[in-house]
Amino acid sequence: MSTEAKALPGQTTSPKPEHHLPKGESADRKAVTQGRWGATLIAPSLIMLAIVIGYPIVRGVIMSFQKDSGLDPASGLFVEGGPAGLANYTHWLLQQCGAGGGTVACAPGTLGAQFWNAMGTTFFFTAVTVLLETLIGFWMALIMARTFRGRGLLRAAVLVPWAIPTAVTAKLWFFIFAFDGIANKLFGTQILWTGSEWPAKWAVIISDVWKTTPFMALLILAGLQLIPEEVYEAAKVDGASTWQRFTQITLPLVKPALMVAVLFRVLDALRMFDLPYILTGGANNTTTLSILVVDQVRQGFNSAAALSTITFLVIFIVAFIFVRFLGANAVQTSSGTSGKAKAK
Amino acid sequence: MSTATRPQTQPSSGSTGEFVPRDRPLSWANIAKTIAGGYVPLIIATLVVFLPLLWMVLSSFKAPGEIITTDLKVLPQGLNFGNYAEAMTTVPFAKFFLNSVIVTTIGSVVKVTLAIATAYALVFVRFPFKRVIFVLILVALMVPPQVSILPNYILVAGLGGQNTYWGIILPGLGTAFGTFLLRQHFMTLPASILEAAEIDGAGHWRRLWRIVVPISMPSIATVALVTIVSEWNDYIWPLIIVDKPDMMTLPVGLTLLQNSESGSSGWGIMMAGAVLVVVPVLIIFAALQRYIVAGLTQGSVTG
Repeated sequence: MSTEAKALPGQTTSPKPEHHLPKGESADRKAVTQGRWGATLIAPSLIMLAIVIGYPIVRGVIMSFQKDSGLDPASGLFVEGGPAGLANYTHWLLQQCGAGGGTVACAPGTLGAQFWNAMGTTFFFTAVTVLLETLIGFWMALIMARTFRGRGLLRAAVLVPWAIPTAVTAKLWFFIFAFDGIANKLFGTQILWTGSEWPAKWAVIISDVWKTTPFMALLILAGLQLIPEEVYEAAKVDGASTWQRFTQITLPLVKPALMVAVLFRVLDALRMFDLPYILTGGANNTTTLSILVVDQVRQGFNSAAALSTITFLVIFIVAFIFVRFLGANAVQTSSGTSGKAKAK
Repeated sequence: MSTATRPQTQPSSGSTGEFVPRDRPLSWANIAKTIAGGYVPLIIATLVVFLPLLWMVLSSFKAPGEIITTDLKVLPQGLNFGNYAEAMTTVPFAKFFLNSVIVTTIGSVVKVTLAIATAYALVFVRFPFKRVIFVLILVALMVPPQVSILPNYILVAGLGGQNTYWGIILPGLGTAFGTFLLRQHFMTLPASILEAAEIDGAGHWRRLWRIVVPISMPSIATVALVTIVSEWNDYIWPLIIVDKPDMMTLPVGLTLLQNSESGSSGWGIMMAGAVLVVVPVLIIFAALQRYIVAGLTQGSVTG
């Protein structure tokens, strides 16, 4: 649990509510009152988290080790199958199909056979979209950080795509990329955008970049604004060139905020669902892991549970790598930024 | 705050002397640079953001014959509200709208309230295991919703929550993000105000609602906006838990529109439906946008 290990130092640096030391009442009574208030205020939230996040994870992992047989999709009964060992996992990871965890290779076209493709597609989408969004977002943030007339309006305006439902975004781009749609007309092409593999992938990527880059830009802008202007002035006096100022001041100082923004985007992109689901229906190799999970739910809960557990582990490993090796630390960065905001 | 002298402006190297002279404001080099690095990309970015939306609105007014044409016609022939009427009657759009409003309102109010209470307790109340609880909340923030969808489905469906409002709302109520963001903000509040209130005899309840909440309105508005937008836009969960058109939310219902109106004549209707889905969220966005831009750029949000 790297998050915990990293969280603790961040915690200790955060200001403690020292101002609640007793002021006339006895410390004992105060502590009791405080504890009761703490419990009252925090209990609803914790109960909620336990119900909608804690319980499902435990339940999902348990289910993933059970058999699908005896499943009745209508009533949701699932326990008749008994323990399945690792069969649900080998089904996905080693592509083994057949009843009772048989060792027959999955037939092409079945959901089981799509696992590694979906994994590849998911990572491909994640890598390309996050890279594009970071680069364009960084550029937009640099421009938006300057003073000009209508800056506030622009910052709000570029956020509009983020506020639009993904379902609408997908439909809108589906329309734009239709065979007789405007994209083909403007560029004079005859591409079946949603009908073949690479155009379909690019359609998903373009839509996602359109939707998410502005939000990325704003998160990076938040990091840029924490760099004190004096640092730039000093560098300028020392004769640093524009490029030097960018690589030696802007990049290192914005890195913590940037890494957190990238981390959250990566976690988000790894569970991409709506866009490809509506835009292409998962056809032409645009099935992501999330789409596969939802498709599998209709065929067997326990296999789907194993698949979501695998997905969770994949996402968790990626998050771990980010936090451990790339220095994306949500807690420390935030404590740092709030401290600076206070100092300002 | 940042000023006009951000990184790419003004090459200051190459000149001699102990002080680097700034470019004169009206030099040609400076003007060219401003155009290349400033307004032109801004205009392009704005166009890229808005042209697809404009296309959506324009198309929603077009008759079927106008949308599929051999030569490109940008403007509709007139304000033709037929697509809107069609969209509202083909599927129960008013019902979708009502469902979305109910789900978003209840979900957002509960989530924001829980986040405020939890964040207040984490910052201002002393009780045991506080740090452990905060770490748990952070871990919850990391858990992808996708993992919990299937068990949640079995749980909610088992309790008879299919096609009900509470079934749609409940699984979204785990609110780690708002708590996290508000905690960051509450820690920056000056302790002296709360001490003064405590000496005056205000309990935690009054301190929370009379002092902390009013002075934290910008941050709370940010959390509220992010929450409202994500509730309104939520797709995967309502898609799974609802199968009766009567209980669908707008984003799910919109896809129903496409399915029932396939073929080229459906495009205008589809775009009209899309406009109808987008308008309410844009109104809320316009009302709250100055808070979110301020809240985000103060660095209080990291995700």
